[in-house]
Amino acid sequence: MLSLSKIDNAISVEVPEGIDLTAELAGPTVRALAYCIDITIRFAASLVIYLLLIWLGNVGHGVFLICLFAMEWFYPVFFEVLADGQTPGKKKFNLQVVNASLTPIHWEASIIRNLLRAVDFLPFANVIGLISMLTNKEFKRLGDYAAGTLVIYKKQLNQHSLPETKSQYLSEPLALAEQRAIVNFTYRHRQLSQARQLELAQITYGWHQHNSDNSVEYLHGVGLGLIGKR
Amino acid sequence: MKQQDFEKNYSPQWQDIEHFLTQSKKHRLNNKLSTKIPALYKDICYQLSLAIERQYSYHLIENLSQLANKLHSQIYKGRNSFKLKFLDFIFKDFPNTVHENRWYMLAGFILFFLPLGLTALACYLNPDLVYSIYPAEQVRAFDSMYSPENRILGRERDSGTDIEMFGFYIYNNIGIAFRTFATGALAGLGSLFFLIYNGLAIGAVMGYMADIGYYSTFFPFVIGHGSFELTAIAISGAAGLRLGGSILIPGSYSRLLAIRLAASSCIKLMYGAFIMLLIAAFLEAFWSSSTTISNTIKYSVGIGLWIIVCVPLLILTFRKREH
Repeated sequence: MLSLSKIDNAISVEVPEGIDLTAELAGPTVRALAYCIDITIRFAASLVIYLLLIWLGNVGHGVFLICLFAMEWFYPVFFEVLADGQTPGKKKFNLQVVNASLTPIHWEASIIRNLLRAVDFLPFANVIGLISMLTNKEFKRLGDYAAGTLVIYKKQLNQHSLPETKSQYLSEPLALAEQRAIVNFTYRHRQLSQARQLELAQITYGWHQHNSDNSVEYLHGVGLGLIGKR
Repeated sequence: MKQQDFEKNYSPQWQDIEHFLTQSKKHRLNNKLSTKIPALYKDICYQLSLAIERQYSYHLIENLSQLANKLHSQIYKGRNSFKLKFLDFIFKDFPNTVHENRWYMLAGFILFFLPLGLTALACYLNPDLVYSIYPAEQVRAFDSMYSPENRILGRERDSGTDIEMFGFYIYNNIGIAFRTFATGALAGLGSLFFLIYNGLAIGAVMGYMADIGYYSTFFPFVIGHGSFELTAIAISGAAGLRLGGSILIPGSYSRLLAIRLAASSCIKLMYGAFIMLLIAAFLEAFWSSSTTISNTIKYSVGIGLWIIVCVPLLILTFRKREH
């Protein structure tokens, strides 16, 4: 368990109500991909604005430079604060910027973390930011340290369905861990491939009389019985 | 209780909450759940604890904890308004922050204005020095830009060009200020570099211009916006030094906490510097470059602006502690 927790990217924040809020941290790769998308959008937007304003001569050029300034420094701020912590790139990869307490981010924190992009970018292509992210467990770049923010995966609610089979009831009790394993196995009947399900079911051959033809179905039945489906 | 019964028991409530959370802000207010969110949050926390204790399936626990997360965010997101109460900021927050960071402010000003003054003096006494800071073409460009034979300051100007230059000053100068601040996160080294570097670069031009005697063009041009621009750069550097200082000398805080506290103080300095640089860009584009305003007026207004900027800052920096 200890070694697992060392490589796990999950974090938890304890709240006064006695539970742990949990979240999954986003690593450098997915964040870099999101960053690339944002850069592309920014570049495309600049190009469009430039082409629109170029007809206005000097005035257009001045306005364009102001837009360029605003986009360079405040494009992420705008989206992080007003779009639930998600720039378009982050939204694409389901990432979200939050405070360390997992609460939504505000103007101040967002402005800090995005001003400090200037140092994370150094000496080129975000090298300092990358080094910073790789040297701590929470993948914080310098801007995240200063603003006290995290980048996490925004999770969707699981839409689960149960397998269509008859509940089975065991005459002998199972240990809690075993019960849990079987219940989770039952819930995952859509996520796991048939072959993998069969492979997992083989582990249980010792304690029931079923063979490869129906062991998966039998285990699903046991799972349904355990969660009390009638 | 078996998991199925548990789910059957509570799922209407969960669906109500999910529905509420997906509603838009306006609809939420009309939803009768809106007043019960804290109580619902406590319920969900309780149900989550039960689910974990009873070892229900991973999926149920995961969904419940997400509901808890969302309700928690809903309750504790706080007010997210950016009603920077402008006057409050100018007359209260900003001065207090300046005073709080007075030693860093002092350091920022010395590190910027001392190299500036020394280089200006050196270049005035020995004009060849300017070539060790700028390449020759650059110096020739300065010559022609500010030559008194030029009736136009800086570049060819019409009102369109004024706006173009306004955009350029915003893009360039505020970018420099932001970088001066941000690179302070490298233990203050970046800010140190930018302060001294900009001090040298600006000082050299000033000394050189004084030496070749372009008094009627260069100095009336820079004196107006210089007050806001140069002090804002120094303030940005001071903010960066504070950020770096919090890493080097965290005091009684952990480094993690120290850098966060410093950042939220520095960002107020940066808001101030940002406002000052907007004013400077406006002055530089529309006032300093004007050829219709006489130099006497430019000098008097310029000196007035320096007083307006510097006197409050000096008072704040050296004011005795209240209480």
